[in-house]
Amino acid sequence: MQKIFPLNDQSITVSFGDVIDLNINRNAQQLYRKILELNDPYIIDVVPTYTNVTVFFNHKLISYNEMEDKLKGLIEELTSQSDEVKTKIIHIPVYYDGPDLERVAQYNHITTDEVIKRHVDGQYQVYMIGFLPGFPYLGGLDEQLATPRLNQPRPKTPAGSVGIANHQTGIYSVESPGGWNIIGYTPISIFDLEKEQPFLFQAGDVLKFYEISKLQLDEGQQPEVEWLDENY
Amino acid sequence: MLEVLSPGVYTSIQDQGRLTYRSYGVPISGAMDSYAFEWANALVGNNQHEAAIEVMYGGAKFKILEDVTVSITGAPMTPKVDCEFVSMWTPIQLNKGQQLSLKGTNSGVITYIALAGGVDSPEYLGSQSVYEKAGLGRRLKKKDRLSIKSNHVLQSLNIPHREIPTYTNEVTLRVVPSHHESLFDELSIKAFYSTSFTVTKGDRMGALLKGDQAIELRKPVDIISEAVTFGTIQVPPSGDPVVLLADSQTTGGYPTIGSIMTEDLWRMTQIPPNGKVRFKRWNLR
Repeated sequence: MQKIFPLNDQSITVSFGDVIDLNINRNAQQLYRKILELNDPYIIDVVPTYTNVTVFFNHKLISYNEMEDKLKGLIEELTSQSDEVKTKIIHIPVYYDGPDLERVAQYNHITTDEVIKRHVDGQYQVYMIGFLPGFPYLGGLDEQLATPRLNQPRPKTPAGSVGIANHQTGIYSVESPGGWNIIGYTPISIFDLEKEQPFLFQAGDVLKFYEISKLQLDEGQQPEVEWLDENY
Repeated sequence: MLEVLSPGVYTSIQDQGRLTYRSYGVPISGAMDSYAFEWANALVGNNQHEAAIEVMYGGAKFKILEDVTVSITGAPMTPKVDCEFVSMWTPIQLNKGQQLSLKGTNSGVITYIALAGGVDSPEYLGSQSVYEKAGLGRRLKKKDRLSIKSNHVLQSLNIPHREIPTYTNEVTLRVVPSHHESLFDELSIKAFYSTSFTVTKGDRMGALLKGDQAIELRKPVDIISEAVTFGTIQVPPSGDPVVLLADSQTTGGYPTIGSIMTEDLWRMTQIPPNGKVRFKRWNLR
């Protein structure tokens, strides 16, 4: 059952649950797309997260109550129909030579080769974008790779660092302080202002990693993208 | 044209913010005190979307390279042109060769300088607001030169005297309760709305608060990251609330107690360190 509540006087959140779950996230994604399709001038921004969708609206054009009623109407429509959506799969090259690769291996009592194999074998759902511009929150990390954050965060983690924090894996989009275990680096820019579409990922995408050599890292690489038809 | 002689503590170009990139994890940024910002533009006949110079904690000094009309609003930083004090909240004419300086202040934190015609600076993702962490511009540095964006200005407005705010160091702000409220200990909720909090530290990302007692949860919980906004009050495990401001992250994983009413936000941004804030629970219906 959905819950609907204010974030503040000019934004409303719809919540589909309180656990990280693919189906709950798909519900949120579905509502997110529906709101975008409205393309209404009173909608300023829409933010999908793991379980929620938050709408920021222009209070000069629509009242809180009217906005809430609109959302309730859209939620009704959701339950009665399913979306046909193309899933975007993005393949990300990684040179697995991070300073914490050994730490992740030791913590999980496996070899570093096994860490790489398991990380490459995974298929990761982009549940949401947050923390840093373009930073994907990914679901689907192998249980055998889960490793607690570093006790002492690093003052600088370079953009392109691929890391693990507890049950999550992610890629740093910009240089930032951080406590993630860094297992490797990707030459792909996931946030690039020079590009027409500066953000590589969107909530709803699927991500897969593949291993590259130091030489390939230094040469630079392009992400590979494929599309899959899927019925939600 | 202006040249920066001294940028002060933290001076940056800000406009109304980058409002449509939250789903990509980009903070909205923009003017912290939208009330003073909007008046700064109106006083010199600018459109509300023009960018202005935001001076945080004072200390900025500029040399005027070309005649320009400016307005100075926000915290009283005793502006001076050369050796003469000048008024705030009104347009003033600056001439080539003069120097404009702002001091620190004991009440308020942020002051705006709007130039008639707007400030020219690079636009990133549809906004001139500086957000350094993601490389979206940078703060002003000594020797930076600022030009006017256009020669076209509208009819300028005068501010009625009663509309000029007094920046007090103790404010009461309305808070829309969060859906996490029931996770908090009842006595903590009571304390949150009945005692005052001291601002211990603040920047454009957030203000750290300290109260008489820690704000505690009934029991530890895991919060799944969700959207937060300018004005959301998070409570990390320390029990000391943090008010998220213009440059805050777009999503957060700490329990939140509520979000400050949009209309009251500017008052929060103007509380200096050691200033006090009280909260009033405000139901939207």
